[in-house]
Amino acid sequence: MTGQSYLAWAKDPEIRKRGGSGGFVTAALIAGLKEGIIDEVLLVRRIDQFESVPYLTHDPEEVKSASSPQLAAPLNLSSYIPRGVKVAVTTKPCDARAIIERAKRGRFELEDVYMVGLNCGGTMPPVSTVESVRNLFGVDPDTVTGIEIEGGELIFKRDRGEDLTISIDEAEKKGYGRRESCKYCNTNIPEMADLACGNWGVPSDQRATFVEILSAKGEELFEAAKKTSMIEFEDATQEELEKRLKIDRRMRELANRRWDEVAGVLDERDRLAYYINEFSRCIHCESCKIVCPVCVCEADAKCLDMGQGNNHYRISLYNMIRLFHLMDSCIGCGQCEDVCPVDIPLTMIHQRFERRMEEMIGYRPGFDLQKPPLQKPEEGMK
Amino acid sequence: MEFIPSICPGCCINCGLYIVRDEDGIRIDYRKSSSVNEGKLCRFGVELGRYYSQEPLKATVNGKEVDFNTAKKEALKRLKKTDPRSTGFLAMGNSTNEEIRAFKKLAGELGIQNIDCGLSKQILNVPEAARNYLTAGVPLREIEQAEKILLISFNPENYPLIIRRLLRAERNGTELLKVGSGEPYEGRGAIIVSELAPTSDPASIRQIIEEADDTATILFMKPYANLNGAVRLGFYGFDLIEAIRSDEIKSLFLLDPPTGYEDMFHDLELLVVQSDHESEVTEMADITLPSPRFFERRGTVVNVEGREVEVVPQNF
Repeated sequence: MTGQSYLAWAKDPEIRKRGGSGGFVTAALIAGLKEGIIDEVLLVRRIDQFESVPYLTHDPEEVKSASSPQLAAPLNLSSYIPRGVKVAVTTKPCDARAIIERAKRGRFELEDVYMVGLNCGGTMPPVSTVESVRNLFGVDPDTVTGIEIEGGELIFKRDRGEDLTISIDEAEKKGYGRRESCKYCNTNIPEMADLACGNWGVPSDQRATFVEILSAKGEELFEAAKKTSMIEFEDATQEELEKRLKIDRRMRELANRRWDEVAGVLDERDRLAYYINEFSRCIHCESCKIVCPVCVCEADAKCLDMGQGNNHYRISLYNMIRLFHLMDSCIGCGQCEDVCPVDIPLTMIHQRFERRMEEMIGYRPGFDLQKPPLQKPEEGMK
Repeated sequence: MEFIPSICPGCCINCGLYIVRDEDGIRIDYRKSSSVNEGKLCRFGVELGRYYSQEPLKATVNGKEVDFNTAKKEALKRLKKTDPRSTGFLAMGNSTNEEIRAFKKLAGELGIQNIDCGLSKQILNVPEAARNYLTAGVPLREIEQAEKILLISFNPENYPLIIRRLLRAERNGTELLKVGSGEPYEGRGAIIVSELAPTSDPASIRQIIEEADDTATILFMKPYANLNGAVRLGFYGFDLIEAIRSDEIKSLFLLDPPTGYEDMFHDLELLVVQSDHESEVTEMADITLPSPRFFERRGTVVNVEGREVEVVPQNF
């Protein structure tokens, strides 16, 4: 069954209607709980269209009422995975990659984590998204009930009044739209997860989820959904498979083009000057380390030991050690850049190192349990 | 795992954040939907979990643990016995508007006029009609789009979350000038950023306001959670810091004391402290009254933009 692709949807009409694309994900999570495959589900609790917080539950009713993914709430859920319980979590590709990296570093057992992957074309910073509704459309952001990116269009859905639509290109030219790290992220289908779900490939007149089964754990969840009669499904056709891959290919092309633009801002003859200038603003708040899902060192971290802000190197040892530490492990999730209080383009810088390393040594972090080649296994590491 | 949205009490920016409570204790998380900081925090904010994990204060009278009502009654009894002329109420901006209002009301009921948020010296030196400039605030987006910004006797490193706004302003072509105390400047159309803190020179504060014409906007950054609110609520009138140091004040009710002033309180005849955690100051107190931790309070503060914001948003 692994490697099979289906169009699936929730049998319960309410779940099907509420779900982002047919409600398969919600149905599978509920089935996993009912069948005892998982103990908990890690999901997000929606506060409004621009804010969500992680939430752990074992109650199928709470899963049923949970929100579909929110584009303007850029969380990385890997940091909230509990230890020692079987948990299912909906993952963007960067969540899934982070989970794999954290499992490698002994934070939890990967066998305990069921990753229900969601296709991702990027997430958006909440504050600038609120501003975009106000500034691009002159509309009160509180009237927005949903945000989607579909066919290159950014759509703000509203219960009252017409939906607000702008091409994502145009929004981004005006300084809104997706997070910078998402614009050049070229991993859109969570192929490292247990299931990859989304609406890419689904005929436009059908409310269904395109589901690819990627592992034995993915099979378990799909089987549970079948067994509990939570879903209906059919095999994905060749045409649907190709349509999905075509969308993915197009997204990756755009991301790679964006990466060339972003990485091209550096003068190749004097990259060091660029790094020194950018890191000179660092106030050593350590937020980038705290939110980094692949960094599991705690208070005894080398970067903290040696990287006080008052050392006299042109780039502080804190940042130097982090560069070294992440050059084979950065998954480009953008969390560091999100929280940097002085706007250092941290993800871009770390990705410049990581992508070069990837080319040199052929290791891509977050896709399997292979150890990072530059790091000696530490205690507790598999 | 419980997420509680709150604001940082470290300075007047009042950065949004989450307090996360789980089996491991209290830590912070980044609230990216907060408009003033977009999820970003300085080191103080990052370490707030440690601050909130301090030993909570217990109600005590003369060092002996009692229930809250006993401590409250004893505090009132002793405060009523003091000479109002040598008694003060000091709240240096770590309290909500509602708490400051109640504190001011209590001072009034006890006939105590010596109230201070630590800024009386500076505020009283500014003509009354111009005091609204002290707490007007500026939307932080306006800083990014300003034509000219003057940083007068202001070190942005004390308020790290303002740095990115200034950097963005520079990238947008803003003329950004640092001006030392007493140096001449042309403030027409500028956003003037300076600091109003208990250590600020009162003459400089007055000079900034007097020299700014109608085209300028003034932003006084302030330490602690809610000095803006304290000033707006009129919680000033007497320079208590100086009066305590000169032994003019013998009895003091101190609300939510910040660190850095511990040496002042040794020689008081009566010290009542209300706080959310034990500290060097609470150890000196004759009577202590526990407060909820800041993120557990239901109330409002006035932030850097001059907006009244809830400590814990009620829509959450």
